[in-house]
Amino acid sequence: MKRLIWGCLLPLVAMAIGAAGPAHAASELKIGVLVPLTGTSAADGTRLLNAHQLAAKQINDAGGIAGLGGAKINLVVADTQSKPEVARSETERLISREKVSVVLGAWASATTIPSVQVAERYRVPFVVTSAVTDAITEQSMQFVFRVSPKGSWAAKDVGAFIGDLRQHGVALDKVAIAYEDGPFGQTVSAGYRKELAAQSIKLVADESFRTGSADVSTQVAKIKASGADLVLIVAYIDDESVLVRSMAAQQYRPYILGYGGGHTHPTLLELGDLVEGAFGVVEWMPDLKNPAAKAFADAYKAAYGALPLSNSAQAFAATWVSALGADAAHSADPVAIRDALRQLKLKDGPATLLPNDALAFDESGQNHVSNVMSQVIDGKFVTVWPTNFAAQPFKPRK
Amino acid sequence: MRDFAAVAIIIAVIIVAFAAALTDGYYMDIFILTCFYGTLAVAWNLMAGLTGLMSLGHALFVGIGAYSVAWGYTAHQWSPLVTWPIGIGLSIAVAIVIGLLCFRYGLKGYFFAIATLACGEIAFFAVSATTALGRSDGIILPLAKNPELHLQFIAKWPYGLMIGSFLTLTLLAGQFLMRSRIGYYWRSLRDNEDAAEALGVNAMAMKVLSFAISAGVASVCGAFYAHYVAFVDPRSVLGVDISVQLLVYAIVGGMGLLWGPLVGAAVLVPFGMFLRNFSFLQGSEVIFYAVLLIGLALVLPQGVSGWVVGRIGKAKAAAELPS
Amino acid sequence: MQAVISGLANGSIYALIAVGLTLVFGIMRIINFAHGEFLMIAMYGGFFAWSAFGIDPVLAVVIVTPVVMLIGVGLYKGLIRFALNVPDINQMAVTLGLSMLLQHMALMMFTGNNRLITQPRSTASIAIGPAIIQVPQLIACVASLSLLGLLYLVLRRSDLGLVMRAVSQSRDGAALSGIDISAVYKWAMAIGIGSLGVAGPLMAAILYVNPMVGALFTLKAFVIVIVGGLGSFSGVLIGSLLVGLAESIAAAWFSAAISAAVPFAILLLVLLIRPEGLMSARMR
Repeated sequence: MKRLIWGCLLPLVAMAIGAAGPAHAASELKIGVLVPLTGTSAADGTRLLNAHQLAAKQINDAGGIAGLGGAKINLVVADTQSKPEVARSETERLISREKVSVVLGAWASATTIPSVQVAERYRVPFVVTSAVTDAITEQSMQFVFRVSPKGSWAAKDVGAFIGDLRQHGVALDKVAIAYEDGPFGQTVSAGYRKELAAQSIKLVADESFRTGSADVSTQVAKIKASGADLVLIVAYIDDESVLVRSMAAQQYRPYILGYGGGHTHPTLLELGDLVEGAFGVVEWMPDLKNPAAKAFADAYKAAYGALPLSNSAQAFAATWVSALGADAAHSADPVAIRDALRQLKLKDGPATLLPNDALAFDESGQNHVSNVMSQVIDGKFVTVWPTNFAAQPFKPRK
Repeated sequence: MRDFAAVAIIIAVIIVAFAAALTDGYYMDIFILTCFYGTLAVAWNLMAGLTGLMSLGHALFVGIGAYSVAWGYTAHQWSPLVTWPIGIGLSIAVAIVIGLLCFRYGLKGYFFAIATLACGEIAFFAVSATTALGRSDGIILPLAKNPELHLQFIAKWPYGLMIGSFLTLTLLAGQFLMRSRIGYYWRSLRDNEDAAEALGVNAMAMKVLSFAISAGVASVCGAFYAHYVAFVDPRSVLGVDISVQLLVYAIVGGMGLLWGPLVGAAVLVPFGMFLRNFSFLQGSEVIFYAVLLIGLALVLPQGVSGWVVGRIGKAKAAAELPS
Repeated sequence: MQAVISGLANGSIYALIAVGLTLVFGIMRIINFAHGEFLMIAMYGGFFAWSAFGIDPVLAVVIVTPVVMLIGVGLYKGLIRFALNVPDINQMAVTLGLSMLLQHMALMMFTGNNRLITQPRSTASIAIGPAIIQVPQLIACVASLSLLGLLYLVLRRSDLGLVMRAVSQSRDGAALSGIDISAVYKWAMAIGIGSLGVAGPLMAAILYVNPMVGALFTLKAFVIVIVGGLGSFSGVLIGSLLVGLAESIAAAWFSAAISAAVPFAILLLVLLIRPEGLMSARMR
């Protein structure tokens, strides 16, 4: 029977020994980073982590956080495995075991929501990097901040952009939506539907597909038959490539408008001519007319050999903003940092690389930031809208 | 009586672990998750180990429990006193329907497992397409005005107390059932269904009963999950992941004893969390976990619990033999 | 009409994947959760043959298939052989662990990035009445039918096929009549996994490759094998086409989430009405 007891107790004992880490140290600011390093979004997680680490390195190389007597940033990285339940318990670990002062993360909405709620219970600020679900900053939570825009804002920007295109004489009368029928696609496409109705733009086809479908020609045929001259695509890069190929195979060449960091992914450019002229609504672009954006893009390219994607910029901003919060608070105390983050209004510096005038959080913790439009011009993603951030004007179809 | 002694010891361990974790949020979280999966695994084994009905669709019942709470609370502000009975009742009803159908057509073994898996997946996709249930986005449970009435606590120990008690109750009830006439019927069905039926065991009723009890307990766990995490989405409560996890706990812990899968959960849940401390190398911790799983499945075919009990039995036998 | 063509195209791609599974599952009675991961490996094989050596995916089949067959044999010798001695349910744990292992090893080696094969014919298509079929999909259809036909012949005409059928019907009976069960299993694994060598490169040309891509197909392949009937090739063909068609037609009417549930509904119906599968394993 003794064995039995040991059999049950041993794992707990092992835990106690293994997990006991050092507590708060004055000479460093511990920031928890939740990223998916394994599972379905592993590639995205790696890019986010790169940006977090780049920001931390910049801050530490410049002498650390002045307000904390030059304390260095110590990123404590946790893998969410792209699973909500793992993200939640890793947040527990980061806060109660690693004693981090701020938590950043956690890529998708499904992994972010439970994590945010844990941080709220522990009264530790959580800076959301890229999750799009509107509700995250609508729960009257006191410790949540979001640098990325709400998902529904993309629809507003798309609506405005369509209006602009029309003013420039591009004939866009019928719009179709093609979305991936999962959390991401459903959220964004719901926003599109509402916004199109509000702007009385005619939605002529509304088609969905599952990720990993080898043949989507049924959906494409229906969209083609509807005569849509603009197709709003909400999908990850993998399925978008299948969709775009299928459209080309049916000799159907409408304007297409993709969504987010998944769309402005270099893999898409491998499709060459098929995506020439394709638009994308995206949270950030490396060629934004903004000094901080250029500095980040250059530093990232120097460090990792590739241009960053939009979500990397958000991760970079989130890391900087947390450091500046601690700097302003003169404290590593989570509540003090929360209060400082509330007051923060950044007009210049590395954290302001996102497309708005100043990085600041409203009382719900939301940063009011818009999206920009990219277009593939000569095989490259170029920012074309709004004009104050655009690198080039957009190119209408010949 | 020896079985009861084992259960008593396990309950003592649960209480000790709860007390040890009382002051530390992270340990309490581990305790809670271990108990959550442990309760599910014991409920699963009530069917699989004792009655010989392997289900790969238990996520369905966890999901029904969790969504009853989430939907009832966000749409109607219903209290847990209303939502829990709904979830449990619905789960039992669904289990009876699935059971009647499957057993009516004589599905056994792999085929029963796959039929339950199919039911779970259908529910997953149905919820993913239902606007009232938040589709793939799931449902966030916001903080209530009177949080305690909705089982919302800032501290962790009330959750630990809740799930620890469920586990204890499930174990006791399971042990009681095993010793009852029903338990003997179940095992007779597992060992030889034809013979049992020939002796007058109502196979259909007994199997459905086992399925219904197991489903009811699973939906309690699901309801608890909704309160604890305050967020449900199809992937976390309806996904095939949960069903497969239970299978893994049962294999590692052993299915021969009621509490075998609990041992599996008690070993693997903390171990998996412990490994995540080392997630600096992308995927390394999952690889380690996978190798351990393969190793245990091959080396200890009766599971950890079967092995331990076997060793004890041998030791006893050796002690009793005059040398 | 387009839905029918598209459904048949998807269906025959499923058949490419499921045919290997029906061999392993039907003959060895092992639920191989790692089947999709071997597909993933074969897809990477096809991708690298194209990206590093410029080998067309259709030709790459000839190279990848033997390699994957060897992997199948190695897997049998190194792991599955031992798993045959433990209870059925433990075998599931072994293949489940294997699936996690392969996914994460691929993640470490190849990173999580998506890889695409782009060729001129990626977007080529052929019109069939009012509908079209894309050329890579058409190639996969043809390959699927030929593979099924070839394996059918092997199982019907060769001695190996004869003993395989014998083992599938009664393992003990076959062993008693002097058949080397181990050798049969080895071949079943070699062919079962090897058939993915055909599927992999062709699918890489249609979809994309990442470490998780295989897992998308494992469950569906099981559904097909059971719908069709264990160990039956005609069952695989009918099961795949049925699932492909039903999905595609459902997708034309409802949302994609609903259509994803359709294969499971078919599975339930088949299990309840005809648990031995549409084409029960009459491999005499």
